[in-house]
Amino acid sequence: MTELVVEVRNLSRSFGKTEALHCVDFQASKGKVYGLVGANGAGKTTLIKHLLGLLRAKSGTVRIFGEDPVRSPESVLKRIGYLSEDRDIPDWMSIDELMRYTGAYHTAWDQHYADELLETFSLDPGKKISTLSRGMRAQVALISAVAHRPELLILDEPSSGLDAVVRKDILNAVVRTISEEGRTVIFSSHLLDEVERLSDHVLMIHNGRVTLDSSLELINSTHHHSSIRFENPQTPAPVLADTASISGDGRFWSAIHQGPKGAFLESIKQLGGEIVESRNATLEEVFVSRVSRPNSCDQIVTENSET
Amino acid sequence: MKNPSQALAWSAYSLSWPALLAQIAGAVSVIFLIILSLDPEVDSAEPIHVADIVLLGSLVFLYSVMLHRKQKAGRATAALGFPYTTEFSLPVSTHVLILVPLLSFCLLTQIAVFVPGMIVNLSILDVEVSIFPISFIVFQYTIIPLMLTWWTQNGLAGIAGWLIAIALYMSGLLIPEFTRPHNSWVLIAESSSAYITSLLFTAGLLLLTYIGVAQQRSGEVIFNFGNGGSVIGDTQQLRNWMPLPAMRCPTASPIRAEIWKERQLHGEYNALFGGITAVAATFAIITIIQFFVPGANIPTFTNVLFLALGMYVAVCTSLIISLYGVRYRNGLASVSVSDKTTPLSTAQLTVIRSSVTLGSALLAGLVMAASIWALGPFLINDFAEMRTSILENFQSMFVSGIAGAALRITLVLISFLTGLILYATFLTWFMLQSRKMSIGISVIPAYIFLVVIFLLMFLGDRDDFYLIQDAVFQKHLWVIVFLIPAGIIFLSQSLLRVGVLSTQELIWVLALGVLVQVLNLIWLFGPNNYNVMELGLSITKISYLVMQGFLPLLAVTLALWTSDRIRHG
Repeated sequence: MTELVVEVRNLSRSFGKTEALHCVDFQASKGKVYGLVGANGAGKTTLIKHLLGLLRAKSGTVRIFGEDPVRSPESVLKRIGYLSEDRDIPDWMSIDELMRYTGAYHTAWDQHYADELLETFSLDPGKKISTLSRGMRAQVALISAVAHRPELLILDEPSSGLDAVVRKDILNAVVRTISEEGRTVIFSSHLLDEVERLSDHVLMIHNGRVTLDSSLELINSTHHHSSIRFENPQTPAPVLADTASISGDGRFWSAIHQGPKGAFLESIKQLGGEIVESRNATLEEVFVSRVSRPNSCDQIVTENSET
Repeated sequence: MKNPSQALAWSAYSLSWPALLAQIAGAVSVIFLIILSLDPEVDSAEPIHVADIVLLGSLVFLYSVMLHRKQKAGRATAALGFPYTTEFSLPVSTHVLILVPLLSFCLLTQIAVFVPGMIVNLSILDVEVSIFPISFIVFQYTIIPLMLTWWTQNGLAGIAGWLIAIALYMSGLLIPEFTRPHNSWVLIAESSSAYITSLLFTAGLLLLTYIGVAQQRSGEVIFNFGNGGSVIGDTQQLRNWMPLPAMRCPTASPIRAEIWKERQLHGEYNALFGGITAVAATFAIITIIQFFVPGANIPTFTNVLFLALGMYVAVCTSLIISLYGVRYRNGLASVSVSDKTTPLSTAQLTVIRSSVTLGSALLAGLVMAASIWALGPFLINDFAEMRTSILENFQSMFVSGIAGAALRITLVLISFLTGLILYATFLTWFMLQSRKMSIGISVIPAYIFLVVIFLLMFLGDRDDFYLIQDAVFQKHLWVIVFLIPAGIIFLSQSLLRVGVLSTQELIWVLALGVLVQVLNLIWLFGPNNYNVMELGLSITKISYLVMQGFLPLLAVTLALWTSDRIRHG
């Protein structure tokens, strides 16, 4: 049986009248990279805050390494590396002081690795964090998150607002972390190409609800983008089997569909159409098709075949 | 809205009217209470005291609104300076940008003072009131603090401005000195030229504010002391000024690393710096007053003590305001995620932070006391006399032996630390603008107000009223008597439920609380101590005094509960 690092069951959270999370179930197993995707305000950061114990689960349960992160912050947080979206690190310290300070909390702190990353990023350890640029700050925050070789690395929008060079640095460090056996990474991002490049598994959230929870491989093999030509103009949009979304007008339409193509092809034939071109859908296309789909707690599309 | 001024005024009003209404209700009840608690034989219309309280309320209202406005504005810099930075990009001249909010706030505080004032006067006092002098005092109390806060972003320049303003105020140059006939609300200034002098100084300050804000609008600073940043609320900058505080972070254990961090931010060097600065500021104010009013006999011990105590409260506030890690960042009250994700338990973090902070507050007090003690003979007129009096008081503590003195000192220390924890907790919830706390604070004056109105409606005779008022007060004291243990039970259960404390840890905390209560009981009932039974106090008051012994326990459990709420939402 696969060892679960993160286990979230039926988690709901509201802020006033706004429902940030609704009946979220999510499991992350050891040694995999999980991409957390969703539009702004979808609930990604709220979910991450629950994983870190920064929000108490009011409804449902959260377990990290089998423990409640709110009741046992000490033991859970020691095993986690976290890079927050706003690179929240004590900016009154120098880089060296931050390294020593963070190292004091983690017995596995690898100073050699930290020094190596500082050199790679050309960071002067004597510099005050408050004097660093946004990109340099992100690099320092990343070093303090990964240099203790965390069992679980959580990155909240690691590339947000960064230039291409720093993004590449950060992604390389993440790749290096995950290349080590048994490390688990959860990262949220708006950049779907980044998610597609790094993730083994994708959790898609929309309006606080999980709309897709599946391995990337499965998503790629089951979601297709097809261009369709009909004999006669279609008004309103044609209703096709297994279709997540459809766009176009008149005789020419594009559809994102999933599952075996049999029923889909049959429904096109019935409307007098034919497929002009078909390929695997990109994650971005899947995302766009999913976020516009209404869901309820008991209609969540879960395609997680592994846990 | 037809023009930018109207838009700015609407913006100021729309953000502040709920606070204005709440403040009027609060002010009415406070005025009622003060008047009713005064002895009928004495001057029952003490306008100075009433005005002080009302103005204090007005300023609280004013600053809470400004704080709110700052949060909306989302400023990226420190707490000082002109708050309406987002409006800098509007096509409006700088003087409109300054004058509209300035005059709006002045108008709102006038309403907040005169509406309750009229209600009280019409319903109870029915005496002649000097509208213009009171209005003038309110105007000056409103406009001067605002201008002093807005004119510069530089901390040192800001402090210098406040010191000069306090000196001018104490010299009677910002607000004229008034005389008042007994039992009257009529205030009489020495002459009309006193108003003109005050207005001239205010106009000077307004000009300075205009220049300062114009500079801020173009990204410059009017006085560039130090690094141009803010000193207030940014204690870590102390490390940049002095080499001593920058110690190397220990890596042997997380607890030592956390203590290092707290000491760097709020430790002994900050206490030393705060204490010395406060004493220097106290003497600076006195020197400035003597400069403006050469004949004034200001440096008496009482004056110095009064000023120094005010300064000490400011030092304590700056030290304890971040006891729970809440601070203003980008204009919003928040706790840094890196603090929240520190791999230590909530109890450990709370103990470390409060120990360092409270220790620093005590140290700052000791530094101040020692400095005044050392410098007093040179700077204070009647210091020798007061020193003798203090020493006598100190010696009298030892009359009941060393054990008795130790008991007194311990209880005073515990009370002081309890007060600081409760004050820090209140400040923190205020900064976080907790909805529940706001409702709670609003409900209490509203309830008192309703009780007062109810009593007034049914009792025509004023003498009866005072008797009943005392009975009502005694009955309400029972609420506090029961609230303390109820609070402890609720908080303890909550701490156990959420896992902040284990059962064993909670037992230790409760045992310490009981120990403090035992000390309190020895003090209250001991024949050589307070000896409460001999004082003929009512059972309510005795119960209240006994329950005060549990306040430290309540403060500790409340601190742990607050830390947990802040950390875990």
